Parts: sequence; C-alpha cells; structure tokens
Amino acid sequence: MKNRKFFAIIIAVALTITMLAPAALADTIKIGGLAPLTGPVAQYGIAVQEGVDLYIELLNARGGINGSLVEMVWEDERGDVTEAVNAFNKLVEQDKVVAIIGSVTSGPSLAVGDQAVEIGIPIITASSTAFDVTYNKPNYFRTCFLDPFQASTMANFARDEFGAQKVAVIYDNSNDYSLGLAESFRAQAEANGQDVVAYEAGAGGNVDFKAQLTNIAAQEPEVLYVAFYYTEAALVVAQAAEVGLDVKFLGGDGISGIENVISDVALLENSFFYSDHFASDATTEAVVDFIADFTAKYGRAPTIVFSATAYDAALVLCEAIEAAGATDFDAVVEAMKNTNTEGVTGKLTFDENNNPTKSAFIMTFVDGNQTFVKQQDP
Amino acid sequence: MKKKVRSYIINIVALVLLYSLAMYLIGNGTIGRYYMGIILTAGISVVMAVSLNLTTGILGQLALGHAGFMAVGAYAAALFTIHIGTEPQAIFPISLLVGGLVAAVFGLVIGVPALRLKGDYLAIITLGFGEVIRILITNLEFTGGARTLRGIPRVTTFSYVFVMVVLVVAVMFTLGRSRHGRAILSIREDEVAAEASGIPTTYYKIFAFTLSAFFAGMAGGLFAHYVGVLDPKNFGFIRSIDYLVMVVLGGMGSITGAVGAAIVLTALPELLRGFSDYRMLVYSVMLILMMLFRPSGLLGTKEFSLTALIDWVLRRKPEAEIEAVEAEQVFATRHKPALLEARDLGIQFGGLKALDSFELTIEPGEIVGLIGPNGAGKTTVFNLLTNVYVPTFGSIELEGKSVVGLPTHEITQVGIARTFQNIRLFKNLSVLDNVKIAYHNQMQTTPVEGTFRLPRHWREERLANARARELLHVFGMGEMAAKDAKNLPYGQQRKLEIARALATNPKLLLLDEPAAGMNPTETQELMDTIRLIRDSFGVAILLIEHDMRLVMGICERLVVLDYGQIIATGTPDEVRSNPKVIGAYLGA
Repeated sequence: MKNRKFFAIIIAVALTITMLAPAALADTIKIGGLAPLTGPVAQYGIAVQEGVDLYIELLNARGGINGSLVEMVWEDERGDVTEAVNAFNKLVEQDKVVAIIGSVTSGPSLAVGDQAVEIGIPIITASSTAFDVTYNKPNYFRTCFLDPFQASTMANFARDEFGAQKVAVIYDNSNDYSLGLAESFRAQAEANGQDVVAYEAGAGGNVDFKAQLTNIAAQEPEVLYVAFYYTEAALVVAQAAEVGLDVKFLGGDGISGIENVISDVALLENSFFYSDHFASDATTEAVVDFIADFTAKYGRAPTIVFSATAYDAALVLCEAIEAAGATDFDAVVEAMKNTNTEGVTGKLTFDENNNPTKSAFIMTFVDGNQTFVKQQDP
Repeated sequence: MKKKVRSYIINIVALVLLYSLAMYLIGNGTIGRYYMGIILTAGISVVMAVSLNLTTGILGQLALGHAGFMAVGAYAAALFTIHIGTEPQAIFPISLLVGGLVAAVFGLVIGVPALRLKGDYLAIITLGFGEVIRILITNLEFTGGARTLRGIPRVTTFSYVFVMVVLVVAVMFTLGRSRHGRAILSIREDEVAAEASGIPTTYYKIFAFTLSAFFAGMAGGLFAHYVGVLDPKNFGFIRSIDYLVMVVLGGMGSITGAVGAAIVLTALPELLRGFSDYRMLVYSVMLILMMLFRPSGLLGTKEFSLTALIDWVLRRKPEAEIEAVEAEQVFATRHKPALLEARDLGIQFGGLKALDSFELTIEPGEIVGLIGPNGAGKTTVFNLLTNVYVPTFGSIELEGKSVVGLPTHEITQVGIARTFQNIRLFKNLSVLDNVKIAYHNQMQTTPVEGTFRLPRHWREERLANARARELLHVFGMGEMAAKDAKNLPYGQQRKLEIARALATNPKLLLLDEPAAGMNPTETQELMDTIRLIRDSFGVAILLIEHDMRLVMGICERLVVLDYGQIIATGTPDEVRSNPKVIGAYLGA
C-alpha cells in the first residue's frame, strides 16, 4: 500500500515535469518582462504582466511567431531603481532575452533606459509616461500616451464639454507624474484663455486636503483638475464635498481604480471625468475580444488600463519580430519604428521620439462603474 | 613590530590577489553585467554599512538618517559631474570627494547641536534630518525634484568601488586602533569615565559623526554614477534602516561584520529571485532567524583577521606582543607641588543645600580622607571638584588657578583625576586599552598620522604600551593586560580604575570609596597601593571611604561632613575623639 502511494507521487512529479517541459523548447523566443510584482506599486506591475501574458498565450495558441513559441521571463523590481538595473542585467545576460517589456513606473524605466541604449536591445514600456523615458533613446518605445498629452486633452475637454472659464488644479509636488500633469494642464488652460484661479500643492500620502480645498473653493472654479493617483483623489473628492466645493473633477489615467477605494461612489457619478488609454466598454471588435479573452483567462475584467496598453506593447513587439524575421536587436528596433497597427487601445504609430500617436478615451462613472464618454482626438 | 609587518604583507597580498582575480574574471566574461551590478551595489552597501558602524557600532550613538548623508553626497557629486565635467571620467574622483565633503559639512552641522545632547536625541534628530533632506531634494529645482536627476555619466567601475571599499575599511582599522579610535571607543563604553580620563567627548563624537557622513557621501557619489538616475524616494527612512540592519546583523562595532552583512544582505534578494513573489518574505524571515540565533550579530564585536586565520591553519602560535621599553620619554612627568584650595564652596539643588561653606586645602603629597554618613555630601564634593556639577557659590583653585567651569576633561588635563563609587571601566576593552585611553592627552598623534601610521603614531603607541604595562605591573596586574576589563575580579577592577586615573598624570587623585566591597585582605593590599602611589608618583590623594580601618590607617588628615556641613577636621586621632563626629557618624 505504502509502495503504491510512493509510486503515485513519482508519477505525479514526472507528469508535472513533462507538463513544464515545453517551456524549454530549443526554438523559443525569450522576451523579458520587467515590472514591480511586489512592493508599493505592484498593482500596476501585475496589471502589465496580465496584459502581456494574455497576448503571449493567445499568440502561442495561434502558433507563435513563424512557428517559434514565445516565452516570457518576468523579473520583479519592486519599483526600485537599483533592483530594476539588477533585474534588467539578469534578463539580458542570464536569460538572454531578445527584447524587454518594461518597466512600469518612471524611475526604474529611466534607470534601465541608459543600460538598454548601451546594448541596443529593443524595449517597450506600457505605462511609463515620463518624457525622458524614450527621448533620445532610439530603441526605447512606449504604448501609453504622455502626461502632457493627457493633461492638455483634459483642458480642451473642460472647454469643449463644460465651457469652463475658471479652472483649478491640485497636485502632489513630491511626485513626478503629478507635477507633469499639473503643469501641462495649466499651460494648456492658459493657452485656451481659461483662468487658472487656484494651483494648490499637497503631498502624496497625506490624508487631509481640506486646507487646500478650502482655498480652492474660495476662488469658485468650475472644474478642478486632480493631478493625483486614485488613493489621494478619492480623499480629495470626499473632502471637497465636506468643504462645500461643488465642481466637476478632472483627472489623468491614475484615477482609474478610484471607484474601489472611495467612501461613497455616488460622489463620482457624472462628476469625475478622466482621460484614459483605454475604455473597456467601448464597442470595437478588438476591445470586445480583449475583454472576453481577459475574463476567460483571469476570471474577471481588467481593472487597470495598463493591462490593455501592455497587451498592445506585446503586440507591437511580437509583430516587429515577425516583420523583421529575426531577433537581432537592430532589425527588431527598425521594425518597431515602422509600426502601423491596430491594438486594443486603438490605431498606433510612433513619432520621432518613439511616443505613440493615438487617441485618448474620456471616462466617467455611472452607477459606480467606469463609463466611456467620448474619444478626444489629439 | 614583526607581527604587524607580517600582517600588513598578508593583507596586501590578499587584496592584490582578490583584485587580480576579479579583473581576470571580468576580462574573460565570467563576471558579466548582472554579477557586476550586484558586486557594485554590494560594494556601495559595504561603504555605507562600515561608515554607519563608526557612528553606531564604535561611537555607540544610534543614527537613523544615514541615507540622508548618502543622498547629499549622491546629489552633490552628480551635480558636480554634470555641471563641471566635459570629461566625467577624469573628474570622477573629484566628484566623489565633493560628495564626501558636502556630506561631511552636513554631518558637522547636524552633529554639533545633536551630539552635545545625550541619549536618544541623536536618533531623533538624524531621523528628522533624513526626512528633511529627502523632502528638500524633492522640492528643489536644481536637484531635479521628484522628476529625478537624470543623465548622470555612468562612470562607476569595479576598480573605483574596490579601492573605495579597501580605503574605508583600512581607515576604520588604522584610525580605530590609534589614540583617536580608542577615544571614540571609550565614549561608547562609558561617556562619564571617558570625560574623566581626559577625553574631550563632544569633540570626538562630532569627529566620528562627521567622518561617518563623509564616507556615506562618497558612497552616494559612487551610487549616483552607477545608476545614472537619482530618485529622492530612494533615500527614505527605509534605506537608512536597511543600512542599520546591516550594522546590527554584522555585530555592532565589528568592521568586518558590517562588511560581511552588507554583502550578504545586498546579494540575498538577488539570490532569492527564484522564489519570485515570496522572495521579500523569505528575506525577512531569514533576517528574523539570523537575529534570533545571533542576537549580538554575526561577529559580535569581534573582527575577522586573515592573519589569525592563517596562523590557525598553520597551527602557528601568535607571537606574543613583547615590545622593548625605550628610555626615551615623550610624555613629561610632573612633579610640581600640587595645592588644592576650595573656599566657601556650596551647591544648591532647588531649595536643598547639598553642600554649604565647604573649605578644603590639600598640600602636595598629602593623603586626606573625606568621611561622613550616607547623604552627607561627600560625592557631591567630588562632583564639584571635577565640575560634573557647577558650584552655586565658592571657588576652587588648583595651584592658584581657578578650575570652576572647566569641562571635566580639561580638569583632568590640569591634574585632577578621579575614580567612581560604582566602578566605571571601559568594560569591553582590554585592561591595557583602559589604561592607554587615559594617556590620550599626553599623546600628540594627529588623526592623519594615526590613519596613515606615520612614525609618531608608532613611537607614541610603543611608549604608551610600555608605560601602561609598567603601571599595570606596579599594581600587580601585568599578567592581565590582554583580558577584557569586564572579566577581572572585583578587587582588580577597582585597582584598574585607579591605574587608569593615574595614567592621566594627575597632581591630585580623588578616590570614591576605593575599598567598597573589598574583603579585609584586599583592603590591606589597597592601603599599600595607595601609599605606594603617593610615594612613587608624588600624587596628593583625597578619598571618600567608610572603612575606618583604611581611613584611620593611611589618612594624614580627615574632613568630616554631615548634612552638607563640615563638622570636624583634623588628624585621625583628633577626629576619632571629637564628640560631634561620634554622635553623627562613628557612634559610641
């Protein structure tokens, strides 16, 4: 009896090994994934990982690239620049990957950028919006739009949609992303002839923004641009109601997810509008398929848009490898530059700085759900 | 001397071999980008941990803002390279130095007010400093703020990091074993006793803290030119704690321990990459286990020595450190007449007069006893004479010069040494080092001479060793020189404290209950020692004692205190028959 049990275990182990074996096929193409899979920004890292893995799974099911299967090798960098460099080096040298998707937040993306340029490896980020990430880096691409772009889009949206003349901004002066959004919004608003009546700073990680909101309320703006990530933005919205500030709220892509953390979702109903890379309730075939596939694989719809931009990043990269017909760095980079494709986040080409030229989706909340409003073209 | 030369040769040969091996492995590609990255990061961590060890392990002050100094150095060095350099390779060493110096200036500015305070204030102030620096960098324009400082030339190479690590570790060892290092160690062991042994403790605290900041700044420079991007978020409180963990894990005060722990803790998260999502959990659990099983750190306060290892492997007995005593005298011995005069001395604590109208004159070479019931104010007299307390009124003069208001260590320098009622030795230091610390003021070796082991360092060390041994010999403790002070029997500890006080070359020696806790044989021995001290060192002695056999046996004159007032003075016989003294203290 005991022997039988032992035998069963052996078989189970052997089967497991056999099941893992395809990963070790000689003619696989290895692509490195660099993302914060643990730590304070892990949420974004995991969203990126899910999007990429979904694309690769579907691609391999279709037969891979010209018959070669694609294998993703993920490394965690915890949102830390030193770890990102270590992980990048490991991917390049130990795992001998032919290209890299990553990183997720701007600091690590900038840190590995210098290294990537040195060796010329094709690299594409789905979520780093800082300008310098791809600037002057011929082999570094991205599928998300830039902070200045999405902020100025919202200034235009405020003018077109609400005819807003008096606008206000609240931002986090310790955060690169927030600063970038705030400054671009202000610049575009001023260019539009709108009046920026308040420009208030509050540090990220704070829980009380009432002092700033009271100052803003005194200026009676029509819209407030909230240049925060969703955690602080949720506090701002709730506290604005407390100090009697009645405005339309505007925000960037970091607002996505606010509906899960805010104390009362009703506060967001048709009052918070933000720009995003992707709308999951859009009705194009690509989006409908993406949502269906994603739900099939993970048992839930994507909650963060970076899953969609990451899907597109994997798509751009794999199509470039296919077009190049090789995995040597220069050929793939050249093919990526010539990208002209349609991903789940819309039509996509790259400008001279490897930034995508694409539309922004304006979203709001209806019944506590993210709801697509309109597509704001560049 | 021969032993030291051998040790230098072994270490230098080992370093050259290590460096050549590393360069060979880099050359043939065995060490590629990935391992190189880990090695460079580990090297930078070593510099950080070893420099923090100076403040926390060796000086014994808890500092929680070490990453702040690293940040200052990193930004200073990076900005220097960016704005000055057309040739970043060429000016990199200067950039590193700039980083170190700017961090040192910050260290000085923080240290001067913070280190005057005692206890946990430094921890709190450095904690605040670390955060202030991070927030300043985030909000200033020229640092790139939260947008990160980019485009720093990535010129940090293995050679730079290697040289830097060797340099910092070597300085810690050489400086640490010079008179300055001993002074810093003595502060960790017992600040009051250090001050009483003539060590200017505030100066040495600031010195150690500033040096620690300097090295952290240079490590920051290396870091900046390695990553190429500086993000203020990287220099937060957690990073300071990371380095503190390295010091604690390596063993507080152990330089090689800090080196080992820095390497292990930097490499560990990388080695654990196989655990993917759970690696930080595994890392934390391993940290907890290490601290549970080695609470004093991997090495405790011990140091790893390659020479000792080779000796052990070869079964070679370490050569005994016998050094010839030279006739040459660098330390001048004083035999000038001493005269202490305290006039109308008193102190008030709130409404309580602990001492009032106290008059005392001590002639050169005299042995005077200060007796009285508990709480009469005897130790208060000692604390006033050594300026632990500042008198509310009255004057104290030594050889006609006022000593009121002098810091304790200066009082020791002008010639008043003391022992303590509850023994205050530098417990974790050797008996020899306990005595050598007290020679501090009679030596002139500068920190630079000590660090680079210039001739004066050797000459003075030799002499200090010889004299310390001689002194211990006089006290019959010659055999115990290498033992840790805490391992001595009680009576010997008392004697060592007296020997240490004598080593400061005093004119007047204050002994606070030297016979407390001694058995009759030990007391008898002590009486002989006290007479010997007076006779052979020409020192006047003022002692507090309850053992009447000792007091009556050796004192030439007695002063009796009760309720802060002198109730009698005179020879032992006069005092013994004084009815007031019998009533208040001696009993019928």
